[in-house]
Amino acid sequence: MLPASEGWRRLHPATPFLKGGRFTVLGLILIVNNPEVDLESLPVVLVGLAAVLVVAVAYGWVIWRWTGYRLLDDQLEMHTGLVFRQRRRLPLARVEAVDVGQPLFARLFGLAELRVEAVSHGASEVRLQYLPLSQTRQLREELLHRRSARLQASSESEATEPPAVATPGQPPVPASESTRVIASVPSSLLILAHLAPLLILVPLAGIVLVTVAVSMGFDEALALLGASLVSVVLLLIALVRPIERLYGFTITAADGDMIIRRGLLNVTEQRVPVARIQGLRITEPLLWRLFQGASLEVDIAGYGTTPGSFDSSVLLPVGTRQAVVQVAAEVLPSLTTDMDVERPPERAQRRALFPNQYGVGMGAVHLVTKAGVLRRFTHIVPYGKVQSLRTSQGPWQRALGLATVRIDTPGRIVNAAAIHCDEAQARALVTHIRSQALPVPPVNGVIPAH
Amino acid sequence: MVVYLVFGAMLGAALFITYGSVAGAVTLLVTMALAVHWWWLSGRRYRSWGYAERDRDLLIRYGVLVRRTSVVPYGRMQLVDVTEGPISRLLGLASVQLHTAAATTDAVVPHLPVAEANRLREHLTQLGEANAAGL
Repeated sequence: MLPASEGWRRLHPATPFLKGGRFTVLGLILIVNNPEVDLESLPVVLVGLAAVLVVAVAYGWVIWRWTGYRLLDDQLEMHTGLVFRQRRRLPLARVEAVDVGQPLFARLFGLAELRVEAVSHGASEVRLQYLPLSQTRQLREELLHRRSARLQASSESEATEPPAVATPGQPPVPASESTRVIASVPSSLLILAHLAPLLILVPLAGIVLVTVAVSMGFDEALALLGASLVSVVLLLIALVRPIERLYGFTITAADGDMIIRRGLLNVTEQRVPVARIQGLRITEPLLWRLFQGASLEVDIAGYGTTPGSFDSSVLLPVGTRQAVVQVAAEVLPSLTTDMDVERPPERAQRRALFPNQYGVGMGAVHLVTKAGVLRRFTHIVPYGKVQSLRTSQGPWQRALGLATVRIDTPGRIVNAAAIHCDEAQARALVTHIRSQALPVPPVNGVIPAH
Repeated sequence: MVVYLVFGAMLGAALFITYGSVAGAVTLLVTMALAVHWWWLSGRRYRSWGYAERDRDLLIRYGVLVRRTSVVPYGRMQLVDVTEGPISRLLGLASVQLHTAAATTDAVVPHLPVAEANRLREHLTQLGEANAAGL
């Protein structure tokens, strides 16, 4: 069993009710949408639903009773199940990310779940559902503190540089003392920015409808409206989803990491280690350029649920270009000064339609590339994160003395490329990046295994 | 490519049988012309491949119409694959592929003699470990 004397702890007793509650809502939705249900059969259906709820809660209670977790110096253990037992041990050295999430139901009761992700073979996630919010946060701090202590201990035998994470031997620092808010997105700006496409679509739709009404008759226009209702609803959902996901976006800095708090219904706290950021991308969509808006996204190493995976994260969903550069400067302090780019030579006009969208700039610590006409992208890659370089030269480029250099980095978001730049400059670029991309000392003494 | 040629030959033979000599003969001629052209192209493509083990990275150059180069620093190599297809195995050839943490890395040296492929893999693995870099 799980004796408390050995440090096993239980999750919050309300857990089975929360899990059962979801079933109830699902059941209600199913009932409401079922055309065969009418007033006569309703009592039967309700009784059935209540029975299902009781069973779900009972099942949840059994699971809860036989679930426990404990945090040791070197690993996190979780034990669940009575009949189908599952015991999961997560070595702390393998932990990559620890997030605190609050799904809607849990939030109503002040509870949260702790998501611990690791880079390892097979299933690599441990979820503790649910604990009081403050306890979850404490657990996260404690977990990260023990992890850094562990990694420091294992790397002490190899004379490497001290790790970038909090130094061991100090008690976990309470979040309020060493954190500093970098940026936050006011909800009005978020909503405005994400609903901006409507500013164009609504007048357009209006014009179309009026045209149809005038030329073919009012009924036809109404029919058109009805037929397109589903698409309109889907479109609205697609526009509103990012608003829910990014509502109240706040990013704070703490101990070489960045903590991102966002969400309306499902509030998430993400911890992004700055040292693991592989590259940045600034996006400026056409509509947002009206108010100088931009967004910042990054690729992060070891943040997904599959082994050796990379995930992307939004560091600032909407902001002025200045605010975006400010947040980016938290990741790369050299960024405020080195943002100039060189455009392709004039003869590139014979090869590409809008050659001035492209540009490449070489800073001291990072490189910058630009591309895009409707959506302008600026990719920023620190030299140390470059994995490989590819140059290509098609026949037309060869005739004009141009070439394209692509910089490979882990992750999906950042695709830095110097497109249609002068041949000689391309060669110089490759040489420069090669010389700058020196081996980086192993992070925390651990080289991520693949 | 081989599959297309075989298909073309079969199609030509089938047309010849069903519709008479002209259609079949034309298809067969076109197929053979394509085969010769492909053979010549493959030769050029093969000859365009070059690789150099430099002091800090591996340089691979290839391509006829679109010339490409690939530079992979030794410190970034995560995996070195040596692959042999059934035909390659018969001919005693193998291809070497480098993997880094980036999915877009494209560093392949195909159709090397097996001994050279193995030597290259050993050498690259050693250099990779010596210069290993974290993320």
